[in-house]
Amino acid sequence: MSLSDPDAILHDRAQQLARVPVAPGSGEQIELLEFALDNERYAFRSSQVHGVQPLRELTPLPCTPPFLRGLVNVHGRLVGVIDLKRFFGLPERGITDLHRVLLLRKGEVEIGLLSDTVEGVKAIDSDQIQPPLMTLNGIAAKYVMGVTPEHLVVLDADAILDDPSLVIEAA
Amino acid sequence: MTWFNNLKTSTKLVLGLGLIMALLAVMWGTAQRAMGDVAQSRTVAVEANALDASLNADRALVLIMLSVEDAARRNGLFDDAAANAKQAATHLRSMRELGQREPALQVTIAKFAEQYAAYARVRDNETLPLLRDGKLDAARSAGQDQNNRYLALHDLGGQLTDQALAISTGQATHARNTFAVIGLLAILVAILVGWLLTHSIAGPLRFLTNSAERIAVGDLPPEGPDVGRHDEVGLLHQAFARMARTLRQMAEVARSISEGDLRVNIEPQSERDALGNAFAAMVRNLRSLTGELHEGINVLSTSASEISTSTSELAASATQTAAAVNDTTTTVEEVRQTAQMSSEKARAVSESAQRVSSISAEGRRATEDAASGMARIQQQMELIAESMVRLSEQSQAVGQIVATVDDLTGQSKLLAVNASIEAAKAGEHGKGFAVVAQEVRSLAEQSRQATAQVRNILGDIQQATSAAVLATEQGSRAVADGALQSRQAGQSIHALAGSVNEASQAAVQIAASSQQQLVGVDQVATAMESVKLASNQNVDSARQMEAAARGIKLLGEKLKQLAAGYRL
Repeated sequence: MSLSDPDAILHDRAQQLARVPVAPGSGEQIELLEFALDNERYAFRSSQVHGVQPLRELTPLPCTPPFLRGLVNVHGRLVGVIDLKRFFGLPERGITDLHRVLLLRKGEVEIGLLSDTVEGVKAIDSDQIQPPLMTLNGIAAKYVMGVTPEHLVVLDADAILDDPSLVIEAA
Repeated sequence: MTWFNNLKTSTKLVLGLGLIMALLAVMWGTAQRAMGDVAQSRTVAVEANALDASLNADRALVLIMLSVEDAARRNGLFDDAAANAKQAATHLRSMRELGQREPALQVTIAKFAEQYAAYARVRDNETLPLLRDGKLDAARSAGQDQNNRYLALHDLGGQLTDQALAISTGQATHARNTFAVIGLLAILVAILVGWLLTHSIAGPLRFLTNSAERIAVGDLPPEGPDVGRHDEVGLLHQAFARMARTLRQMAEVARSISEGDLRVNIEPQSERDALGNAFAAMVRNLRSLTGELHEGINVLSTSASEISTSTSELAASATQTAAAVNDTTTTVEEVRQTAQMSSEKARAVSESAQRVSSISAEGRRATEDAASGMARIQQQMELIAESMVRLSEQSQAVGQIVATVDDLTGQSKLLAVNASIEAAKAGEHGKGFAVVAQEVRSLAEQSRQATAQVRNILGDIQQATSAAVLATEQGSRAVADGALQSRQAGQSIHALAGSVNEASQAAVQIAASSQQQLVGVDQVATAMESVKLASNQNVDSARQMEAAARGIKLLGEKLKQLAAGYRL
C-alpha cells in the first residue's frame, strides 16, 4: 500500500465509524466462527467451538479411514483431526503449517477439524440463517444447519460430534 | 736618216753617249790645267806671306836679344834664330821653283831674293856674332841698316803677293770662259743625240706601248702596215703583229666556245705555246667536263626533285612535330599546374598531418586518461557489486524478519479467535472481552496486511536488487570490456599515433618530393618552351628548305636547258 492515499484510508474509517448500528432484530444474536475450506466459507457457532489451534506435528495414523488425517497434541491431550473436505467433495491439498485445527468438544469426545484458514468471529441474528437447500444429501445434509445472507454455510458441531459414522471402533 | 734608223740601238746609244763623253773629257782636261795654274799662283802668294812672317819673327828675335841683358838667356834664343833662318830659306826656294812659269813673277822674285841675300849676310856675319860676343851697342848701331833692308823686303813681299793674286785671278777668268764654251757645246750635242734617240726608239715604242695597253684591256688592234725597219724596233713591230694575230685567232676560238661550239680544233703555234696548249687543253677538258656536267646535271635534277619531295615531307612533318610539341607544351604546362597544386596540397597535407600528429598525441593522452578512468570505474563497479550483494543479503534477512512477523500475526489472529471463543463461552460477562478480542483480531488483520505490503515491497526490492545485481554484473562486465576496449583503443591510438607520425613524416617527405617534382616539372616546362621555339624554328627552316629545294629543282632544270646548249 502506498502512503499517497491516507485520505482514502481516513475516509473509510470515518465511514465505518459513522455507520448506524444494525438495530437488534427480534431474534437472538448468535456469534459465528467463520473458517474456509478450499475457497468455500463455512462457520460454526462460537459456543460450540472449544478452541482454535495451529496445526503442528500432525501424526498420521495407519489403518484408519481417509477422513482421519492423524493425531495432534493439544495441551497434552491426543486429538484426532478430521478432514471435512472428504465429506464436502472438495479437492485435497497439501497440509501446511498455515492450516488450523478447530477443536470441538462434547463430554468426553473431543475432535479436531482441519480448516485452511480461520477468518474470525462475527455476530449475526439467528433468524437471518436460512435453512439449507433440499438438494443436499448424505453426510453434508446432516451437518449443515443453515446459510447466512453472506453465503456462510453454518455447520452444526453437535451433529458432527454425534455422527456415529465418525466413530472408529477398535477392531 | 735611214742608215741611222737601221743601226742597232746599242750602236746608236754608244755613238751618242761617246760624243758627249769626249766633250766632257776635254772640259775635264782644261779644268785640270786651269786649276793647277791658279793653285800655283796662290801658293806663290802664300809663300811670300810666309816669308814676310819669317822676316818679322827674325827681326823680333833680334830686338829681343838686344833688349835682354842676361847673356845666358840671350844665348838660348840663338837656336830659334837659326831655325827661323832655315825656314825662310826653304820658303824662298819653293817660291823660286813656283815662279819659274811666270816671267813677270820671276823678275820680282829675283829682286826679292837678292835683297834677302844681303839681309841674311848682314845678320849672320855682323849682328848675330856681335850679339854672341855680348857687344850690344855695336849690334844696336848695325841694326839701323838692317832695319832699312827689312822694310824694303817687306815692301817687295807685299808687291809679290799682289802680283801673284792678280795673275791667279786672270787665270781663273780665262778658265771660266773656256768652261762656258765647252759646256754649251756639250749641251747642244746631248740635245741632238737625245732627240735622235727619242725619235727613232721612243716614238715606235710609245706606239707599241699604246697597242699593248689596248691589248691589255682586251682591244685587239687590226693588223697594221709593215714599218720596213730592220732594227730591234722593226723586229718588235713584226713580233707584235704576230702576237696580235695569234690573240685574234684565240679570241675567235674563245668566241665560238662561248657560243657553245666545242667542236673547234686548236693547233698550238709551237710546243711552248702556253696559250695555245692551254686553249687546246681547255677545250678538251671542257668537252669532258661538259659531258660530265650533262650527267651531273641529270643526277642533280633527279636529286633536286627527290630533295624537293623530301623537304616537302620534312616541312609537313616539322609542322606536325611543332603541333605535337605545342600540345606537349600545353600538357606540360597543365602537368606543371597540377604539380604545383599537388605540391600545395602536399604542403597542406603535411601541415594537417602535423596537426593530426599533435591531435593524436592528445588522443593518446586522452585514451590513457580514459584507461585510468575506466580502471577507477571498474573499482567503483566492484564496490557497487559488493554493496548490491550486501543489499541482497540484507533484503533476504528482511524477508525472514517479515516471515517471522507474518507468523506472529497469524498467531495473534488465532489468539484473538480463541479469545473470542472464550468470551462467547463466558456469555454475557464476556461481551466486553469479545470486543477486545475483535479489536486484537482487527489489529492482527492490519498487521497481516502491512506485512503483506512489506512482503510485496520487499519482493519488489528483491526483484530490483536482483535486477540491480544483474545490471551491476553486466555493468562490471561492460566496464571490464570497456577497460579492455579502452586499453585496446589506447593501443590502437598509440599505433595510430605512430602511423600518423610516420604519415606526417611521409607527408613532409611527399611535400619535399612534390616541391622537387614541381621544380623538375618547371625545368621540363622551360625545356619544352625551348623545344617549342626550336620546333617553330625547325618549321621555318623546313619551309625555307622547301623553298630552297624548289629553287634547286628549278635550277637543275635550268642547268639542263643550259647544258643542252653546248654542242660536243
